[in-house]
Amino acid sequence: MIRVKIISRAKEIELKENKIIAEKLIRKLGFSPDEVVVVRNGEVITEDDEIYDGDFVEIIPVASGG
Amino acid sequence: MRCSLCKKDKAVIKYRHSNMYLCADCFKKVFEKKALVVLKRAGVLRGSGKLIVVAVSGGKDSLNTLYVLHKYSEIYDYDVIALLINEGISGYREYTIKGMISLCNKYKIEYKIVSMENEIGFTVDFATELYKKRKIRWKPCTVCGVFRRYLLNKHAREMGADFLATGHNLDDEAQTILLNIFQDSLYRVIQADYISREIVPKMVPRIKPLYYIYEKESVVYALLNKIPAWHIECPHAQYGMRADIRRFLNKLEDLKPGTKINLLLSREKIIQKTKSLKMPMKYCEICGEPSTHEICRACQIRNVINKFL
Repeated sequence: MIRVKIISRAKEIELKENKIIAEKLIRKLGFSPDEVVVVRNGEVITEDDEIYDGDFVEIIPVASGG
Repeated sequence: MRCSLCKKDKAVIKYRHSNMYLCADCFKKVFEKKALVVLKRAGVLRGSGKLIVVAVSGGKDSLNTLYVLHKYSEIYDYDVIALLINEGISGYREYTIKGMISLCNKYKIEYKIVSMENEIGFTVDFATELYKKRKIRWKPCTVCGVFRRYLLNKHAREMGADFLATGHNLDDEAQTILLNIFQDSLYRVIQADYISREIVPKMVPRIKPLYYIYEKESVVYALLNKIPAWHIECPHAQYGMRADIRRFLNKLEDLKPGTKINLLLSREKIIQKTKSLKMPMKYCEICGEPSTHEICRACQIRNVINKFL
């Protein structure tokens, strides 16, 4: 199980996956890699990195402010 | 993925247009170097004892700008003061003010907060209510932008600033270029890139240290440096055309990485070719501030909104 917190939607979801590439997760959530930053277990990762069962992932929106 | 520069550490960011990966340390160096290029080109580092007032909203971009300028002020001889305009946007501005105060206290940076309600007589929230009731035609972002620029320039000048630094990043700039073209405002496209191109009395020259920095880089930099920024969007942003242009540009960038930077590079070429074109600057007949109109936009809006107070 991968826990995913989507900051811009104030929502947390659980994925029943053993492994997923970050870019695939980003696109699955309806974003493009330039629109979000992925933080895995407190560390910033690139869209090419893998996310594993048991990881906690935060999806931080790039657009903020006024 | 390993860093393309040091070939050692794990990458934290990928540049899709160049297929380059950077680790945290190399990324921070590249980020700060890009800001330094702007400071050098804009002439900020020439001479000594200059005062840079940093326009801070409390979001990641303005806090990163403040942090980087403060960091370089320890090497180069200039002073930095943060200036925040509180436009009165509830559920948003009170959080971002906390971020600015926290960063300023941590690094002992002087700051000043100016209340739009005290200075102008109303808040952006009040103007938004009038817009929703169709009593005024100006969108919240227009009202906010006009009065923020007005108050930032006025207070920076009164503080004796040599430069007013803003947190505009590469994405903001690419959006602004398109916005101005769509509104047939060529002058606005060419009047400023990383520095305001004309010297106008009473107008503090503006610099944009994050001009060559993508918005995504700004988020990563804030996270890596534990900058106390709130990653939230202004509740009134939905009313502006900028949000549509941002989505459009992000889609294009996804299809063809490098689209946004190419827009900025094209503007620089246009500026070189149109150096003789000058914005017709005047001074407002009511308040005396620099403006392109007989009566500045701030006074035009204020005259209408004052009727509802």
